Amino acid sequence: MVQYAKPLARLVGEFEKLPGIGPKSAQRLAFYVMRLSDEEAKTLGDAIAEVKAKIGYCKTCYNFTDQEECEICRDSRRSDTHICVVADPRDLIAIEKTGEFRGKYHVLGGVLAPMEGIGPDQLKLRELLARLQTIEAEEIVLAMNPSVEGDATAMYLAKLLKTLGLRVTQIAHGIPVGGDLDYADQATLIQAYDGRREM
Amino acid sequence: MAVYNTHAIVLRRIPLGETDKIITLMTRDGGKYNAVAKGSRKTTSRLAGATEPLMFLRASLAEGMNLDILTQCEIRESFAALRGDFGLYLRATYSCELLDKTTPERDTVSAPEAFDLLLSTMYVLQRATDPDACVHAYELQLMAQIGYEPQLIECVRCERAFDEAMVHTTVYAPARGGAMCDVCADTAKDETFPLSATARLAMLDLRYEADPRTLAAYALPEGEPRAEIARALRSHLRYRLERDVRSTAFLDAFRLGAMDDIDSLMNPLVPPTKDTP
Repeated sequence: MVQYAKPLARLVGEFEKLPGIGPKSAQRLAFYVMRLSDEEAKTLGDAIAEVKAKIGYCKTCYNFTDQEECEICRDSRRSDTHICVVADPRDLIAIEKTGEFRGKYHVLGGVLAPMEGIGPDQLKLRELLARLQTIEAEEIVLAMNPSVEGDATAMYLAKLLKTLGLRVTQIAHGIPVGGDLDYADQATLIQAYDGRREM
Repeated sequence: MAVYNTHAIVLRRIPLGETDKIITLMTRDGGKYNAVAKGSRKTTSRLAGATEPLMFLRASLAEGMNLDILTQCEIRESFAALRGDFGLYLRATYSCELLDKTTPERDTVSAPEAFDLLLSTMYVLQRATDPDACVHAYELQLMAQIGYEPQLIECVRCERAFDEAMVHTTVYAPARGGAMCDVCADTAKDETFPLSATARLAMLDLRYEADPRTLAAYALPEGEPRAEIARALRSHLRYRLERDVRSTAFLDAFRLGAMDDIDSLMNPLVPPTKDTP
């Protein structure tokens, strides 16, 4: 049986390890790399090496950064007393894009998922608790995905943080802007109804 | 591509590609299997909420080459009470994981009983006086369904009936799969755990209690017998399944109050490293 030359087979194998990439996609990506010029291939390789060498976690909020403390944590114009807790750096970026939140963040690094074996010890929870002991927090905003695990994490955090006498809020869940009531599922509608507000 | 309708409980889900999910369904007529819910991770998807774990659905699926595809569904019960209480959420998640770990795929013979048991347990959990009693009843009845029922009526070693022979239960022997009398316990070489008559009788009550209203009102004996039941069942399941049910650790920590204890959460404080998120 004809097989790829070893270096090419190795590249296909490495691409296959990426999330959402199967054998066919890995093969397609490897053949794309083969068609790149030497310079383009080197740029790609350097970018991967550089991100591994330079990017780490912010010592305060655990967002990705290329310095000891991320840009948001260093920004003195932002409120130190309003902390938005997110599960993932991508969620931080999503909230940051709105331009509405002017406080600082804390990235948990995931959500509680008992079936996956992810509990409080696997999250940056004790770091959050330690951080909250050093500041006079006015509000903790919980911004987890509206999934079963996200809701459970928010519920757990809210209970825990309230014992410290903190004001804890959660972002609203319900019908998305541009959505259609008729097409909304019942779970979303129930949450939207429960979260209705006075007008 | 044939389309069929079924009742299903969503046991778990994993992300697939950019916007899809693979959901593990427990269905009444087709057993446990995975299906694809296309686009269900988009915020505007009609399937988004319905494909979350713990949902009870009336689902339409299309037979696929490898996995069936969820095309439409209607939520029959979202179990809002289980999602709104962290302790109940942990117990419901554990119940789903236990079924997932003990049920082979597409086993249509035992599916109706297993499906009914899980569904009934989730309804009872919502209004249970003692949620742990409900979970232990589920564990005992599920073990009975799959042929791993603990022996609680007679000594697992000498086979003398506990009540008839007036002998007393003293220990639970997980390797042998049941309770052991005081005579056999003295010479037992296997690992054993204390099991009082009160705990054993409560386990028997829970094993045979089928009425949801009685189960919802049932309260486990307090103190040591309560801990004995949990320990006996935990060790029994570990021996029979030969694998970990991951949510067990969280449920145990929650029962002990360790998850709410800020002091134990704070220590030890591990310094951040570049490689650990």
